[in-house]
Amino acid sequence: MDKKVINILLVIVVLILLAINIKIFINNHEEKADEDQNGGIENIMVQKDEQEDTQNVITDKVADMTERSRMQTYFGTFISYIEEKDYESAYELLNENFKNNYFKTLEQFETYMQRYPKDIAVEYKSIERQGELFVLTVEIKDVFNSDTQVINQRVVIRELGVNQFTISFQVEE
Amino acid sequence: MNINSRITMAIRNFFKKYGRIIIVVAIIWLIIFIINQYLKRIPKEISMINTYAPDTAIIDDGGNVPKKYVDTINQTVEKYFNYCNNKNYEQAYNMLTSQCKEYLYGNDLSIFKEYVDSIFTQTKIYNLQNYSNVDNVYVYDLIILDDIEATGTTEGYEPYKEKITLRKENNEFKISNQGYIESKTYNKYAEDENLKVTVKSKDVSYTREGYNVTLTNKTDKYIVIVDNTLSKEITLNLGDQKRGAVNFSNASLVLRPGETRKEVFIFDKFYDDQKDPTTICLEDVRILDEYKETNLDTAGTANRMYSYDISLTQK
Repeated sequence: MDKKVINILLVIVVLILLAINIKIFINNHEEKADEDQNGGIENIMVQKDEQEDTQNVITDKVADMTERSRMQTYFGTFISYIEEKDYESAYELLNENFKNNYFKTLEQFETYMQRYPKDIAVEYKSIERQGELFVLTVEIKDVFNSDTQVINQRVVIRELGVNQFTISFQVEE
Repeated sequence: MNINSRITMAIRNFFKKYGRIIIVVAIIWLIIFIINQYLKRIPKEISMINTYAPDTAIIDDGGNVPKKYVDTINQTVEKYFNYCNNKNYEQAYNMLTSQCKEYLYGNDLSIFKEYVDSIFTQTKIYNLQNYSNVDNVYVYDLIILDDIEATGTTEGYEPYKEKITLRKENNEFKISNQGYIESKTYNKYAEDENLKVTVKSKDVSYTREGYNVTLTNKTDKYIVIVDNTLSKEITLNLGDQKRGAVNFSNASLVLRPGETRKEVFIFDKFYDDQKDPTTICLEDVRILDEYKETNLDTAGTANRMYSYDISLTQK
């Protein structure tokens, strides 16, 4: 009986050792392949992996949202770029034809966006689906100053995929 | 035998006894491991909540567009829309059903051109939503908008919606637009010593039916059919209910002695309600020697008053 138990334990130990060896071999092999591909810049790889993980988490989160929440998230992303004065990222979200019509250059866009408050609060009045487009009616306010003028605006969003979208909006000339 | 030899012997015996099992288990494990790694590397398909179902009828029990027609219908509408957008009037016009050309545009391309020009004032975009499907007739909402993606709605946001219908004509999908669906020939008539009524045809839209009727007064007296002194003077019998004509709520229909007149009786009726009209009824035909518009008691002053049915189902 004792001998049988010892034998079973030995079988398990051998299998575990085998599994660990194979896992280590595969990990080494993958790392080596990555290094070969990227010239061994480990830091960049780690950073990239972390970014990818974060992106995957965001993507999963957005995918679980309702259409309404997704649209609010997308416009929220655009607004947060404006608040952070990251105009380039916001500009990249614009629909190409819209850019050509109203903001041919980043500078034009940046100048126009100066009319937005520094700290932005967005109130969503309506979100309407028009085929593959969404039309949002929003009120843009200053979080800390209720005396400033409220900007009423329509925003058009096309969802290209999860967390991938283009934006155009009503321009006051 | 020293301890080393005993351990060596034990291990050797162990592998002799269980070696084959270990190899089999290891191979199975390896296969599972490889499959697992493979599955992990397959890109995850992410699905989102999506309420957009353009090929599913909005109306409950509105039927479905057969899968084999979905692409063809979408391509047909796209082609028609692009013709309109690019002002290729004739090509767009040729995509209409023959009944639609006749009923809406009197077989006149210039009238269709006016319609296109009134809607397509600039480059437009559209979206299409299946609404209801009955007997191989596919009804859609066509929503036409400015290119709001390119304008951001800066130049306005006023979607224009109309119902369009697709049906096969000579093995090809044709379109009826502006809500019109079809026309049906009846040639049913009823006649007595006073009145002859012929129902020639009806024109059907999604929400209404218009019956083309010819009425002849065979007498030398006045025949009042509608003067709005009674309720529902002209009705359409749908079996379980009667509906009044909607276009006579503020109008009168009085035939002078010997007069023949063409009229359209319009009734509210959904195209897909699966109700078959059985009769048109002139509920209170009044025969009077004299008629004046100021007479608010034609029922009381009539020589005779009776109801008059025109069957729509008789052979």
